Amino acid sequence: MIFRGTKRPDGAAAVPKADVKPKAGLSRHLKSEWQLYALLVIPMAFLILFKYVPMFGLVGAFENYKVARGFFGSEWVGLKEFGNLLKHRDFLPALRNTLLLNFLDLLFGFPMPIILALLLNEIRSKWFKRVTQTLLYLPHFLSWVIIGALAYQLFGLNSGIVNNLLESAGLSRIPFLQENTRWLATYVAVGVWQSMGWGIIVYLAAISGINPELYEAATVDGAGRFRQALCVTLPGIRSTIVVLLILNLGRIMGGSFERIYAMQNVATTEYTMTIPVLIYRWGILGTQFSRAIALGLFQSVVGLILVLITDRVAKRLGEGGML
Amino acid sequence: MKKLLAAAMAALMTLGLTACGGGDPAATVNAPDATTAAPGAATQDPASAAATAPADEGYADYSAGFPQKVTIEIPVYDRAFEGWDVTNNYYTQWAQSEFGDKYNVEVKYVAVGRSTEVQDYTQMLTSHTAPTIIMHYDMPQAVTYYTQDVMQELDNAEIANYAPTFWSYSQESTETYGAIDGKTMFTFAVRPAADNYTTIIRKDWVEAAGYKVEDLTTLEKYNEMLLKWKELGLGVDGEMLTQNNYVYSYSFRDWPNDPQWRALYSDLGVADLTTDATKDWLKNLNYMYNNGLVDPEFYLRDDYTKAEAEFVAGNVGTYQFYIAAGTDVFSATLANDPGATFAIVPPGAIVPEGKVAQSRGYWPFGMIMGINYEATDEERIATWMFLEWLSQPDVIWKWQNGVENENYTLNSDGIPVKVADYAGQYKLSNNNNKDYWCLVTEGLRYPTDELFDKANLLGWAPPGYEQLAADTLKYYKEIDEYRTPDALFPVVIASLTEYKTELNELFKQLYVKVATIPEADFESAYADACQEYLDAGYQEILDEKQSLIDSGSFTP
Repeated sequence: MIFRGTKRPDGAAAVPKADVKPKAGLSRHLKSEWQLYALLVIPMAFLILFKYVPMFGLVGAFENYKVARGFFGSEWVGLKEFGNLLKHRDFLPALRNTLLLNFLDLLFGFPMPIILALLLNEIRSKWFKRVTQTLLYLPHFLSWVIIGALAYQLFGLNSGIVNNLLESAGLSRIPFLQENTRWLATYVAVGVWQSMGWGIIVYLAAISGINPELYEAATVDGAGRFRQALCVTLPGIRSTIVVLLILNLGRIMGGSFERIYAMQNVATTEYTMTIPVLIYRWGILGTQFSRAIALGLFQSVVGLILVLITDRVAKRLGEGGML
Repeated sequence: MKKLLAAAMAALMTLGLTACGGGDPAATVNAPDATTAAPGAATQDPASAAATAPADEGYADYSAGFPQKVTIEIPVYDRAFEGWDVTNNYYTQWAQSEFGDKYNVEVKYVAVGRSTEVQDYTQMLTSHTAPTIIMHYDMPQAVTYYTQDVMQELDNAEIANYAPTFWSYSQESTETYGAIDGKTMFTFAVRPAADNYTTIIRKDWVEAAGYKVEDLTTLEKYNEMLLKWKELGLGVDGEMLTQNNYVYSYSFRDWPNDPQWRALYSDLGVADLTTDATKDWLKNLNYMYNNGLVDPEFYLRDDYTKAEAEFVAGNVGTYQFYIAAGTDVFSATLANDPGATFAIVPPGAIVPEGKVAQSRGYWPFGMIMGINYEATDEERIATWMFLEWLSQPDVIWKWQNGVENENYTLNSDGIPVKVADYAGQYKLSNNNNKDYWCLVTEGLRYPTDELFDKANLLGWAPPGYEQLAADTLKYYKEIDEYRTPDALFPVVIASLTEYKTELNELFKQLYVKVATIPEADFESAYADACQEYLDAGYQEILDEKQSLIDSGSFTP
């Protein structure tokens, strides 16, 4: 057991932390808590095996990679594939679309869980709160293939239920998914619907950690429910919001391949060519592995840079940041 | 106890995770040049030399079985037939007991998604789990596999030695078409001349519009009839998204056409967007779209299931598919509309006046097969022996028909007649086990043309729809003289490999855009589309092909 108190159980004065030799302490600590460290081996092995070892494959971006020759036998071409990548006609549209779709997701999708968490926090009926939460979570567990099929069943131009209702009401049909700008709006709306419920979990957990005395003090000061949410709850979860914002900004160069793949159609292609789609097309369909790996590496590096910049900005603004 | 349990769990899971790592691919690469025995040389390793004796031709004799267990992985298309285990069923077990156990070979079937085969193969190849046979129906994709160096060079004499029956069918094709860059890379299943791909039409709608199906002899008449359908509110023409196999423009081509022109533009792997034939095809599609004659969301019908659903629901009046005795399209349509009747669309119905009903001719071979570069000599030889076993008349008969008096009974011509709704242990897959025996033949084989036709009709005709199968066969024969195969090039066309995938995607976008644009804007939209397509790589492909054609390096 680790002795943490200022006073030992036998009443003797605790040894100040600074006096403990770190090496002896670490060794004793490891000896006494080895079971916990043994359990840590599992996630560490997972992390190393599935997150770090595959990074070796990035070497393929600098080779003319051929499956049969492997990473060691393929011809080394240096930065040639990056040059080809930047010159490729699909690269800039894919970069633009990736940034645009993720920025719109961030703009509309990021605030929604915060708003929902604030609203749910104000519900006093426990069963209603739980049922609402569960209903909000559910879309997160649906695969994008199912959601994509549902979207076309609902919003399809000629046979979608929504359009059938509009026509029955004497209105004209709307190409929700078969006109570029409307496709973009539908894509973002469906994404927000799918993810907002899951996102509130972290915020509700953060809200539960706010000191209740702050609400009591606010009540005494005459603050109503809305004012309490604005002046107590929201500042109380500010650091959580910042951390999640940093994480989300790191994904602004990423994006879901499945989501676009499930919702795209060949009549509306203005915004559907994104970096993940291009990687799939080059790597899996076209067996141009080196170019696909180079694009993946480019995507990851830019994502990392964005995380670092955001973290620095957050720190400058007085938040703790992540790194 | 808890401590021990925690430690044990950690150790177990860590071992489990690390066990996921693969071996060094370089260590398992089989270098065919170094290890493949030349004719006249024995191929067995020294340790097993005592167990096998070289045959006269110099190849090891494995007729008594391999001294050590050999595992071959045979690919099989998985079409997601309900209730069918594609890799473990009576017939795969039978292959093991009849062939595998006899020769000390483990026959392991590997499922490959029919609609996702390229993705599946790519992923299996990169993870070194691809089957022993690498197969594809179309040469452009087979060549793409070749450019990734994932197949080993084949020795024709070795195939002939271990699979003489199979070789007797495939020798001509292999020697004519199997070489790339001067090396034999592919061998082939045989393809008997028959095709059950056809278009059915709602006969009751045609007649309600005041026409007879046999009167639909030109595209103009067909479009007139579609206008009547629209006036009567019956439905529209069914259309699928055109992708991957580019055979759409044949009926709009001039006849006769120059073999060099065909070699330049006819290609399953890349669409000929810039030809006059394609322009005319698009112009007609654009006319149909703007006048409400075709399914307005045709570009969403990107597989047969979706297209069939539209036909069954009565939204469209035509549907293209491979007609087979087991199809449910008729019964499903009748369930929605008991008055529905069906016919086969005559080939002239898609041909403008003044043109002839051309069509793409199949190459004289069926499945294209290469051997995985990682396969050992023994695995490759066992694969030839497996193909030889599969080629035996009694063996392929059972694969195709099942067991007499269970799956079928013989009629007076000696042709098997399927027992309707048979569901016993010998049940065949929904397409008569085709995905298993397609490795050696693409169709039934009978001693006379008459028996061949009769057997095909029985296989294609759903009960009560024999006339549809007969008409499919009749129309196939009618246009036989206008059927031309694509040219084959004996070398890799580098630009085709480079741009094929991107051009396939671009073609879909461009042709849908041009087809759905207002008629007045067609010319400019088509010109812009052609320019974009040429700039995206098609011009490079045409230039490379032209230089090969100029040097005579192609088989028309």
